[in-house]
This record gives sequence, C-alpha cells and structure tokens, in this order.
Amino acid sequence: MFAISQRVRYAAVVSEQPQHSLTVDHVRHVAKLSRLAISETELDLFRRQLGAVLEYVAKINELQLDGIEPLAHPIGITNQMDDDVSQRGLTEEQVLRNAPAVKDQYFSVPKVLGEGGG
Amino acid sequence: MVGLQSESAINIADAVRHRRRSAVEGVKNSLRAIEEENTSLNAFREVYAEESLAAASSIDHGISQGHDAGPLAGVPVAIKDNIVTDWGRTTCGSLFLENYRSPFTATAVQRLIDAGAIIIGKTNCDEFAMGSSTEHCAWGPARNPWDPTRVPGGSSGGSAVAVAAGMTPVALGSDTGGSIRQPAGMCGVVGLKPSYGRVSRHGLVAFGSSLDQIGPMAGTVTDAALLLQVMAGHDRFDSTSISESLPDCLSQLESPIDDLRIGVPREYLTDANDPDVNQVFRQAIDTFRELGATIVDVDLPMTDSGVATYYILATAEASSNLARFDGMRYGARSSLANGDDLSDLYDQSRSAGFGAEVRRRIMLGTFVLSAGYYDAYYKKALQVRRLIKQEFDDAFSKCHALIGPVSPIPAFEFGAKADPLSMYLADIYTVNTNIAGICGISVPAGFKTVGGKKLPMGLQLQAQAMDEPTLLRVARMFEKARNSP
Repeated sequence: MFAISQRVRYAAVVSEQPQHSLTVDHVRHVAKLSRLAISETELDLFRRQLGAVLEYVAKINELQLDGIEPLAHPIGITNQMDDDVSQRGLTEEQVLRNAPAVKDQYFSVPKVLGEGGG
Repeated sequence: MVGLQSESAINIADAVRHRRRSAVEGVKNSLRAIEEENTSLNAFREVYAEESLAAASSIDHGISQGHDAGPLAGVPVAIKDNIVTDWGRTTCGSLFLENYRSPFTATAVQRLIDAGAIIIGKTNCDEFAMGSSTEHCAWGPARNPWDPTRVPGGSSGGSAVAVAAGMTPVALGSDTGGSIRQPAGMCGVVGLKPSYGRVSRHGLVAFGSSLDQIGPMAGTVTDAALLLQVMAGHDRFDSTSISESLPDCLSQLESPIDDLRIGVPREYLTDANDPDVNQVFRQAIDTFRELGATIVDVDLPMTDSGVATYYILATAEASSNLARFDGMRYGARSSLANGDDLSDLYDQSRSAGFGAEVRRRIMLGTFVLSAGYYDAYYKKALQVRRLIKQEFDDAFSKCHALIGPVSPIPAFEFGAKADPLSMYLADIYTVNTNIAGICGISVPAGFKTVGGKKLPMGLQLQAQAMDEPTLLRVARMFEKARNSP
C-alpha cells in the first residue's frame, strides 16, 4: 500500500494538457482509425457529443498523479500456463458456419493485395 | 406482473429434486409467463421453448432413475444476449450479429446447465452492453414492469425485467460499469457483480476485458448466492479467472452481522442524488444500526473521478475488442460497390452493423489511445485507477462492507437521457467497483412514487475483492430486515 503522501491531492487545473475543442477533421480522422464510415450529417453530431465527453473526462487532469504507477488490471495475475496437451478444436463446419461468404473450405474475402486491394 | 416474482430458484430446485413437482411443469410456468408479459415488456430476444421442455423432461427422467439432478434442478434461467450458447443466436443486441450462431457455450452457462438449470432464452440488452437503459438495442427497448413508460436500466435490462415480472426466477447479466446492479436497482430485484476473476468470462462477448464480469440477477440474495456458487471457479479458457475457490457462501448467509463494521462514504450522500434516493439510503443506515452493525464514516474522494476514468478505460478496451468485427469471418458484410476496396468494405460493414452509441464509444476509445493523446487520457486514467483501488483498500481496512445508492436516480422515462454524457454521469456509484475489481450487489431498498407508479430503488453494497461471502451475508441480513414488518 502507498504512503499517505502519495494519495490523491486535488490541485488546480493543470493546463499543460490539450484542451478539447474537437473539430470535424478530428472526427473524420478518428472514424478512419476506427474503421467506421461516418455520414456528413452525423459528423457534426458526433463532434459535439464526443467533444462534450472528452471535455468532461479531461477532468482527471485536475488530479495530482506524479509518481503514480499506472494500473492496467485490477488483479495481480501473471501468466497462467496450461499443461501442453493437445485439445480438440472446432470442426470445419463450426468455424465456417457464420462466414458471410465461403468458397470450398475457406473464408471468401475481397482481393487484399494488388489493384483493388485495401 | 410486478410484485408477482416467480417462486425462488432454491424452492423450485428442492421441489423438483424431491419430485413434488416436475421440471417440465416449472418450465411451462415460465414459458406461460413469458407468453403473457413479453409482448409488452420486450425482455426476451429469443425463447427456447422446445429445447427447454426437452431438457426439463430429461431432468425429470434422470430423477425418476435416482440421479442427482444438481442444486439448480429444473430452474429456468434467462441469459443476457451477449453470453453465447452453442444453440440459438447470440446477437448482443446488434444488427452486426443478427444471425450469429456461436460454435460453443459460455463456461458460466455450461456450469449452470451441469447443475440442472434450464436455459429458457436470451434477454434484451444495450448493444454490446454499452448503455444504462436498454434503449440502445437494434430491436427496440425493454420496458420497466413497474412503469412501462420508463427504462428498466441497463445494459442487462432484459434480464432484470425477466426476474422482476416473474418470467424466470433468476437470470444472468454482465457488468462492466454497473450493468447488472443498476437495472436490478431500477426493477426491484437483486443483482450481483462478482469480484473480477471470480466467474469465467469465456463466452461473454468482450466489451472491457479488465472490467467485465458475468453475474446473477435474482429475486432473493439467497438465489444470487446459489448461482454464484455454481458458476464460480477457475476455467482454463479464461486465464484471468482466479484459481482460489469460492468458500461456501450459502451456509454463512443467515449469520447475524453484529460483529461487522459497515462503512458509509460521505461522498455517497449528496444533494446531487434524488431526494428519495437519499431518504432510502438513510433508512438503510438505520436498518444496519438496528441489526447491531457498527456504522463508520469513510472518505472516498475519488468517487467523483470514477465516471471520467471509466469512460476512458472502458471505451479504450472496447475499441480494441470490437476491432474483431470486420465482417470477414462472421457478422454482417455489406456488399462491395464498384471501385470499393477492402477498407471501404470494413468501414461500411461496421457502420451498417453498429448503432450510434457503439460507434461513439469505439471512436472515443480510439481517440484516447491515439498518438498524441494516449499519455493525456489513457495513461492518466490508468494512474487514477491505481488511486481508486488504493482508496477502496484503505476503506476496507476500516470496515467490512460499504453501503450507498446504486444510482443517483430511479428509473427515467424513455429518451430522457438522450445526451450521452448525461447518461454516463448517472453511473457514478457503480463504475468504481469494476475499476477496482471488487464485488458489489444491488438489493431492493425502497420506492419512489411518481404519478401513482411505484419506482424501485436499490441499495448498493460493496466488499473487497474475493469477499463475496461477507458481501452476500450483509446483503441477506439487510433483505431479511427489510422484509420483516
């Protein structure tokens, strides 16, 4: 457990952080990274909604966090190893049953490389 | 209907095991209640009538042959539509998975089945469990049985409604930031979020992997304890499930709590709460005093930072988890127009399949993880996460359990929280439980009367990680005191 001195202290707003006035270009960029197509009519709505949430969550910048170690996971589990024993996997039918398109025993997808590829 | 909750799971199993009643009869009762109530309440997405009756019949046959049918013999269970079964569909309330048929069954569900339970159907939820109202479902909202003009809470709203309206005695939900406890509170039932790692997440469609837990929703604390006892324990398919086994919760449930200290966080009693929520909270404090528990004041100053931290961490994890939905191996694939490439196909399939709330959260999560913003948002939120956990650790060095409201407000009307941020802010009392990985439970605690309708409100109890035995015992003693005149 950490000493009292390392516990949270509320401080004045720390202003070194980016202030959020989210632009339509930000939203376009994030949509692209997210692999989402956003219509022109939705762009401004999402800009306002996401901007409001980002402005709110930026309040954590008011906390004094120097020297606090990030915590990615609530319990201290390290790697758990299984015995190296072969197990039966899914059948071909099970693997392919939800595929939008199948050719022979393969997932069928659009061309990935070359002209027309992504 | 409301106030007509089904007979308890523990009584049903006892009757079936001792052949006072058949499992088939119990399933028929449940199917009849669904038939009567579901059209108006929209709690169920899919009902497995034939499969349930066949399973019940097989249990009855086994019992007649002298087999032990298990502690949940013949108990009808509803499961949230983001927990997979190798029959039927699992849609997560999303058009993207409209026809998804899982090749396997979730470990938690399999353990229930192995204990004699019968899976009646899958319940409505916010799409991919993202929401606090069960309004964000591709096939329309579930309705609160106490007042159908209001939401049941969410995201496990369908499961809460199924139990509150007597369609099934118990149900499964999932809780990433309050999605079991909040709808339980708003529908007047019990909802338990186990400690992180207590129940296997294998087969729960991932939203926030470091926050998600499957848990029971029930009419009584005892039934919730019974389901937890059956589901808990290590699973080789979930490496974050803990190896230590759950002590016997049921045998401790009826033990008095006059040796326990109950913590009342100052931050939980504020003018920001609905006045009736505060009133119910104060009455609960008095109830614990009457039970002989020692009431201690505690400070949880990080309470107010929880929602901001949660909506960074949960959306970051969601943006990563939902990247798997690309329309190639499963899910809906849009058709490729002339000149479109693979990227266009991903973008279009995902945009056609995901509703607005899911897209908002994916974009938020992508933003807080993106270059230039990672340190300012995601990393900081992880630092706050440590502080929140430390603060609970400190609190639990002073008391055995914390009490407070589940939600600052009772069930609201449809559309009342259309602004996403206003919906998020109402999660203030439930998100930190998940951030810290501790356990929490919502127990019915009182009503607010609005327009002649009674709206239930819950009391939330929280205990340190892996201390479900104490959590459930305290919850049971509160329930018992409240039910006795």
